[in-house]
Amino acid sequence: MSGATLAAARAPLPLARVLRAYLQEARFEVLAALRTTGLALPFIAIPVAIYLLFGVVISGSAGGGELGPGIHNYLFVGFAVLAVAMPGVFTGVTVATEREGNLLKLKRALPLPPGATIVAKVAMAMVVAGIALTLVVVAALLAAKITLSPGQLLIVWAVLFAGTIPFSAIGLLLGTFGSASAAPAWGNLVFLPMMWLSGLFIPLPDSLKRWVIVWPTFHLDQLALGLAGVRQFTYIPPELAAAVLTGVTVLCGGLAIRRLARRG
Amino acid sequence: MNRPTNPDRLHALDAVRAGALLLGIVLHATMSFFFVVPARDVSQGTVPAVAFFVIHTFRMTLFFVIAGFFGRLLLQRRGVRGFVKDRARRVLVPLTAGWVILAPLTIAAVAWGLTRTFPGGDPGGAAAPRGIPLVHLWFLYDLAIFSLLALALRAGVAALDAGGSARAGLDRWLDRVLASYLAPALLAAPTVAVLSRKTDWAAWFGIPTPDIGLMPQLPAMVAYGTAFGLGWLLHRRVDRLDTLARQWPVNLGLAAALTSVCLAIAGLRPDLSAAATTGGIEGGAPMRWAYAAAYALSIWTWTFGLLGAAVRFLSGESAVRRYLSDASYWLYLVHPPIVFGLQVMLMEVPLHWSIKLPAILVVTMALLLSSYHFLVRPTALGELLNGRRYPRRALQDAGRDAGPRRIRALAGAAGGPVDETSDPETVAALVNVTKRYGTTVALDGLHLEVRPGELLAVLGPNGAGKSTAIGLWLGTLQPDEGTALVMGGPPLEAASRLGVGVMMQEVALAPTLTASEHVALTSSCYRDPLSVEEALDLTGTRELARRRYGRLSAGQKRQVQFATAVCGRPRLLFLDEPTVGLDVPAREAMWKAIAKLRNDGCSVVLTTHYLEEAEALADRVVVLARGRIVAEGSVDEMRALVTRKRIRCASSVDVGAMRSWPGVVEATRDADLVNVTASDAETVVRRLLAEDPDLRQLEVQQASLAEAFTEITREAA
Repeated sequence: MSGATLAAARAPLPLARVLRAYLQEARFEVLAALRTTGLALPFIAIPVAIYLLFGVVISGSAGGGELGPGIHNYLFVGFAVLAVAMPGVFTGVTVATEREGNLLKLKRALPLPPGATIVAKVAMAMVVAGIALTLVVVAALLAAKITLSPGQLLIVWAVLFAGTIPFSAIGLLLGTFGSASAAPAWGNLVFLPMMWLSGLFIPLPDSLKRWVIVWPTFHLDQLALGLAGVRQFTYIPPELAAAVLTGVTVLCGGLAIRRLARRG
Repeated sequence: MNRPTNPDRLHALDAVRAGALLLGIVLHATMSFFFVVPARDVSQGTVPAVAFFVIHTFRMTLFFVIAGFFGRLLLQRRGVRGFVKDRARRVLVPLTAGWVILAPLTIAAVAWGLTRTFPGGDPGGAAAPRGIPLVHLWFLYDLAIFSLLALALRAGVAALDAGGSARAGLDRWLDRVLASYLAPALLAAPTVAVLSRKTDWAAWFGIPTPDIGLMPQLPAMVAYGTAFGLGWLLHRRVDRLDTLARQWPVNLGLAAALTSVCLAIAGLRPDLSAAATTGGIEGGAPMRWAYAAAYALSIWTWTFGLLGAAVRFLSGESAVRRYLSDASYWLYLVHPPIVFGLQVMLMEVPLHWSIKLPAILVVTMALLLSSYHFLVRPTALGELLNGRRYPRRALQDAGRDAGPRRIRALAGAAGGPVDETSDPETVAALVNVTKRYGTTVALDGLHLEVRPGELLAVLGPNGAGKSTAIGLWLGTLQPDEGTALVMGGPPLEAASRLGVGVMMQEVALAPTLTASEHVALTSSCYRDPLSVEEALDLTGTRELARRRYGRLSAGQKRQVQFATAVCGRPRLLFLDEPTVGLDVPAREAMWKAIAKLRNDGCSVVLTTHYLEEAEALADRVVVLARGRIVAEGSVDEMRALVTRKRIRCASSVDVGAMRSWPGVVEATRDADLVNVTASDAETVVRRLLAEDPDLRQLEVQQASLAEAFTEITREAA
């Protein structure tokens, strides 16, 4: 091989091919996840199921107490946050499995554009989260006593859909630790306290209330409620919530990228 | 007395020094949550006060012990002149520069906090600076004084005790005291004497911090001077650290108990109103004396306990600890304006301290660490503070040392695109590469090139370093020494890998995707890939196209992986044991495909256990054993390396007797057939024919590569 052919082989890919590589990686990541029913189905079915049970059937009979009928809007957004946080955090399981199966090592050896693997994982989480979220919205429209306007609903949907990203960043970071069999445990260790202690759908004792601000789920909830203009339940300014979520994304995502570059 | 210093224990001491400095940052961050300087936060707590109390008890003593230890180490290594030069650069320069830049910022932050805390004016005169405010840099000032005193004292002792018998006596006495657990009491005595006599002692705050002027303060000089002196003596006999390492649980237990006593006497939070009159201690002089004793004892039990625990648990090298201890000096020097500024900014935010305190620490550390990483570590500043500078990238040392010149020319281009100096005859190279896993050396100065269009078979027993070599070429592993080059550049550049196809060992592809989807996925990252059909046809996997990967047999999975390896039209193909688990027809089909690729000009690196695979395909064979090349050449050359021949015949000769014939290595009988391995076939055949005139079916064969290979690696072992 002459120097000239070597140099030709090293010429960078045209932009269109780079984009295509990103797109194909994301497409097959989503396809693989949706075909893995054991993984995708719970993420899609559980949020809408427990929303219908707790948010609609059980609390539907209650008048809302001192919070009034607005409580139904609050519960709807809370369960919708659950729908996007779950596929996000549990991205870690996929990462850990692929790491253990040397697949991430193989991808580092391929001339894949940098970041394609991670973008694909986030895209996969967003697609699953988008489906789960849409189901919760449909359930709310059909069965619950929400009073949000279509515009507000659209904002909530869009904010939460994008809100998958910080949770995927957490998931990616979790996936870089431990083995594939331990990954679901790690996920639950982060996910369960995050759901139950952030005050999204169960009342918290005062001692825990001051801690809600440490959970990203609370901030996503606040961001969605704040931007949709649900004043009754906006406790912190949406700018602050957005800043925290951005911080989580940059911190966890950055660490995950760094760790994957070395250990994947 | 000089004994060799165990570097592992030095790592532990380095970690302690860093820990003491980093705890200082925590200490200062707690202040607004129980005290008025730098500000009084709306959320006040007992936990921050107790944390302050405990850290404040030991952290500077611990620091000065380590400073004394490393002070003597420095003097031993560099002599008096080197010692003075180093202390001037690393203590006096930061002190002066820090004082000019950091003190005004720190004082401004504190003044801002106090005006917000006391809007009507400062009630206690707490902010009014007395003398020259050294702020937190006082420790450098005291360190400079101690260093000078140590030099003077050492000169005096050397003059008086020329024979060293007094020093030997001191060493023996110190060993005995350390072993008897009495050392904390002895070391605490001078401090107790000074503190219990100090009438204006704010007892809760322990040793008064000498941050208010250039005039040395007696309590600090005594307490920290003792610590510096002890550190100096510890270095005279480093194995004393092992005594401390054994005692750590006792010392830490005592320390916790003594601190509890102190807190019971002085209160969990400082009594600011009483501080001016009684020093915060009720019960008169006896109680003050008791408190001073308990406090000074707790200083030394904490110090010994933490030192011992560090030697016990933190000996040995750790990259993270190394980085943090390099960073700690800078972090501590510049933290006060940031910590105090954040405390003042947050003082009125209606959040609990348990949220604000961690937030302050996280933000501070993020700012400090990034400033260290980008502004200090790679620059002259880092060289000043830590004695060395870390370059951003270590790529520069690519292609150094030996190795053919053409490889060096190629390696020189490792940082950028290939230029005219690179060698057109090499598509991949490992240049003097060493790779270790812990203490195991996987590759030991390996030098290996791949030429265009050749099929290089890498053979070797398990653990020889075959897969490590492939990993270095693929960029999934990084060499400890030397350089890996692929397609004219470092493997970590995506451009280098654009012409490379890969088949790794033990890879689990996504089970729910079909074979053709896997090929489509992989080919999307290459410039001009084969179509999916072409790739499947080339590798004979067309009938697997629509089947999910997870449902294929092990051999079929390897075939699909082979299809993904070749689908990008690679110029260089790495195949790591490609035919494991394949049946005979599948293996032959793969061989055919590999041969076709090679004939089309693709270079192939193949590792294998199947020697017939190398015999069937390879242009060149390299045998690795224990990370080194033990043989290299064509298949024929490899066979010629060993002279053994196999002889088969139908004969009645006694096999047992044959084994003792000259030239016979091994002889076995299978029914009427005799199998002989011979190092000198001609002599053995002549004797066979002579001994058995009825001998039939004589067959003489060259040994297979398998036998050659076994022999070569055995000789290397």
